[in-house]
This record gives sequence, C-alpha cells and structure tokens, in this order.
Amino acid sequence: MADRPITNLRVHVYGTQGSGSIFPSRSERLAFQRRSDRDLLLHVFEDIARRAGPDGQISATVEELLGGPLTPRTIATYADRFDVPEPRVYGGWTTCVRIETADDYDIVLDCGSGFRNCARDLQTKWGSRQERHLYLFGSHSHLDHTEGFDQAAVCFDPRNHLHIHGNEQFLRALDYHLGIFTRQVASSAQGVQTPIFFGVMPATFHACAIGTPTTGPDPDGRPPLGARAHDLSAPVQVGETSITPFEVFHPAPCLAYRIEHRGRVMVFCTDHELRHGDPSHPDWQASREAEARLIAHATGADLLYRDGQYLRSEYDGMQGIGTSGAIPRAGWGHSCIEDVIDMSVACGVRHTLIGHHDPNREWSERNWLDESLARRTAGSDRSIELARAETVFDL
Amino acid sequence: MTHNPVVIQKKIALVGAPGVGKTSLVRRFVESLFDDRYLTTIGVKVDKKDMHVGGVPLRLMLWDIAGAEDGFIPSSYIRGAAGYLLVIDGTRPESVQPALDIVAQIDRDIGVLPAVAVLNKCDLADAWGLSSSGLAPIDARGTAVVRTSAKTGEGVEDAFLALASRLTT
Repeated sequence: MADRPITNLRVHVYGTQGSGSIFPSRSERLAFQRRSDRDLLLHVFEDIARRAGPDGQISATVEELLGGPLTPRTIATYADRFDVPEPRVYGGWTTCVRIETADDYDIVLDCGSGFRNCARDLQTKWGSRQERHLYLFGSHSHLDHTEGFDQAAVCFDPRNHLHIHGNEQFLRALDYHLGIFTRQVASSAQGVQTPIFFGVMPATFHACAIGTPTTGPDPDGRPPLGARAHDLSAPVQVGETSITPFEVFHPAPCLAYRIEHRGRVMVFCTDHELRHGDPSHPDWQASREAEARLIAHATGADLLYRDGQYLRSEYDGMQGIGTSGAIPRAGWGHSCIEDVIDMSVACGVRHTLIGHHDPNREWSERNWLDESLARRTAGSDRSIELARAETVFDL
Repeated sequence: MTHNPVVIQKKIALVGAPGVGKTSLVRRFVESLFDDRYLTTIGVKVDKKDMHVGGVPLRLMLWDIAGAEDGFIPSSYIRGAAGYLLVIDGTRPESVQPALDIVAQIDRDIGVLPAVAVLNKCDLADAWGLSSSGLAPIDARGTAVVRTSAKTGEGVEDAFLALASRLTT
C-alpha cells in the first residue's frame, strides 16, 4: 500500500490498546503458532491431495512436491505459495493513529506508546526534506494517550516542528514533566517520570489550546503555556483537511475529532462513555449529550475509530474480563462494544474500528469477538471489527 | 403474616456453534417471540426468566454466549454457571462437532456440569440431518436430549425445564 499514491487520507493504526501496553503471553504466542501451523498444514495436505490418482493413492517424490531438494530454502519457497492468514494483533501499544493526506500533510491522533513507532516512520518518510511539520491532536491527558511522547524520534530532530493541539489539560500533561512549551520543569517534577526534558528535545513545539486556555498561571501556579487559542466550535485547517474537535464524555476533559478531506470523513473517538444505569445520576445527561454530538459528527462517516472497551455484561459488573473480577465499570469512562455496533449501524458508518481494548482481555477472546463481528456484518457493505495494530486504511 | 419464599437464582449458559438458534431459543422462552432475521451475538447477552420448578421459585439468568466455528468460547463466560444447554442445529450435522468441543472445554476448564442437549429447528423436518451415530458421544454421556423449534415454540419450555429440574434437585 505504501507504494500506491494517496488519493485522500491514508490512516495508519499504531496503537489500539486501552489503559496500558501489553505483551502477548506465552500461551497466546503458542496459540498464534498453533493456529498458523494448522492453517499451513491444511494447505499442504490440500496440495498433496491434489496429486492423488483415481484410486486415491498419492505418488510423488519430495522433490516433486517441493519443486527441488529438501532444504530450508525450498521449504520456505513452498510455504510461501500458500496464503496463511497472519495472526491478528489487536493491541500492544497504547493509542496512536497517523494520517497522511493527499496534499502531503502528516497528522497524528494521540501519542500513547504507539507514537514511538509512528515517529520512527515519520522520520524515515521525511528523510532529508527541509519542511518537516507534524500536526498532533490529543484527546486527553491520561497517560495511555501521552506516554509515547518522550520516546518519539520526531522530538529529537532540530529540523522538526510539532504543532500540538489539544485541550489545556492535554497540553499541560505533556508540559508538566518535559517543559516543552513553558521551557521550565518544576524541581519536584524534574526527572521524576522520565529523564527527558525540553533541554534535550531540540524540535520546535507549538501549542494550540482547543477551548478556552488560561491566560495567567494555572491554579497550581505554573506559568501560562503560551498556547495559541482555538475555538472549540471551529475546525482546525491543515492544508485541505478540516479537523473539527468536539467534547466527549470521560473522567478527564476529552476531545474527539472529525477529520474531513475532499468529502471523505474519519471520526476518531477514543475514551468516551455512553453511560448506562440510573438516568438520575449526574453524569447520565452529560454522557448522553456527548453521545448525541458524536452521532452528529459520525453520521455517514467513512471510517470511525471508537472506544469499545467492555461488553455490556462487563460494564454492568456481571462478568469479569479475562481473569479480572466482575466489578461494575460505570463511570470509568469507556463504552460498550454493543453500543458502538448500534451507533455505527444507526449512523451508517462504512467501516468501524472498535478500539481501546481492555488489557485484561486475552487474545483468544479478542479473536472470538472479532469473528463474531465479521459474521454480523458478512454480506454487508459496512464492516465493524476490532482495531488492530499495524493496519493501514485508505479513504 | 405472609411469607415470601426465597428465590433461588441460577446462571445457565447456552452454548453451541454459530447460527444454531441460541438467541432465538432465549427469545422464545423469555418473550414468546421469534424473529427470522439472524443477528450474530457479540460476546454474551444476558436475560432472566422467573419460573417455578416443583413449587420452588427460581430465577434463571440466561447467558446466551456467542458461538465460534472452531468450538472455542472463553471459559470465563461459563464460570459460575450451574448448568448449560448445548444447542445443536438439527439441520446441520456439522454443528455437532463444535458442540462436542465446547463440552470438552467445559469439562476441562470448569468441570462436569449438568447439561441438556437441544436439537433445534425441528420444524424443518425435511432438512433434518442428524443421525443417531452422530449424536452417540452425547448419548454416551447420559445427557438428556430435547428436540426444539424456537420458531414454533415446540419443546423450548421443556428444554429449559429439564435443565432447571436438574438444578433444583
């Protein structure tokens, strides 16, 4: 796909994991392997069976089957004939999505731990070019959406300009330990979370506060960010791409984005809760209003990335996730997979990626859910699937 | 002074290959409704049904668990179940093997639980494809077998009742 020209937007998914990065367990790695072995063996035996005579007997030498003598090289060549599905990797790194535009801008949504690989790819793409601008849009301040920033190669190249957009809390979260905007780090924060700080990050960082930024010191006495202010109700223009922020519902102030380019639309909505339970709860109405905003922005979208961390039974506390206990998760700031499906269908979204996977959900269970989703949408021109790392979509 | 008997609550699971009619059986049992449209269950859908079994008030928590072609379901969804309905599509003999795989998985991961095998879609008599030899592994376990039709309602109450009776004795 990288060789093909970008006609609209090209979306690269780096991190889809919620809450924290995960690494496949030994049992999961073995399950990957068993599945691949089974699929390969199926192909091999089908190939051998094609050589059966009318009596069902097979008469062929190993060389005839392989097309050469039995060596690692001929085995590899033989295996390459078959289209063995690659293991689906749903998680790994925390949230990060990159968008390349047809008019050659680079946009990144969130900088969870997936941002490290994203930044590596950007540096490779930019090579020796002189114009090096990245437009980063953050959803909110939580660590799983900011933790990749100080590991990103783009921050360590003096030729780079990072135009960082987000609400004040997101910008503050990046600045607190690194001082990239204020050029200072409180002595109590210096080196606490990371040895990195603005002094060793030679890229140029431009802050754009979406919403109403504070103009003086914040309530904790930290200096103003010096951020350019941007009205929440207005789109940010990056070349021909319009990026419209809107507020969704989460324990921390959180933004989602509608990204529009030459009539195509992607909506990025990580960390949003459609609240269930008692309608008289003070958060219920705010959550429903946020959902209405999301529906308004996502109706007719070509691609939707949306938080679907739980099943409803898990949200209600009837069922644990993996080996974790069954505890109610209302108010934790995340939506149910069933709600994402209903919303996607109601909005006529062409392709929906359900992300922010719970770290306790095992690979086999993610596969089981994903296969059910594939059956649900089979034969339709709409698709809904679990978001996977290292996938690319062209709009 | 009136005395309200204690309601016993039991979790029962419905398991089987995709498309065998688990969701339709629950809908028929709980709401007395049937819908021809097939909508794959994602994960699990939980319903409840109050009934009396031998005069004992019982609340069944019905866990309709999504099927899988390879017969895998996460064991965590079965945990806590008092028993299960093993649903097989009577018109699709290939739905037997995933059911047997699920039984083996439950035996291994949870332990042997009371079960009733449900041979669904018995209204489609012309398309019936199950043979007694195909069901031999289920018979060998001594599992009760009930023919049902979620479409007409035939046998549905009996199937749930057969399992519920085993849970209250």
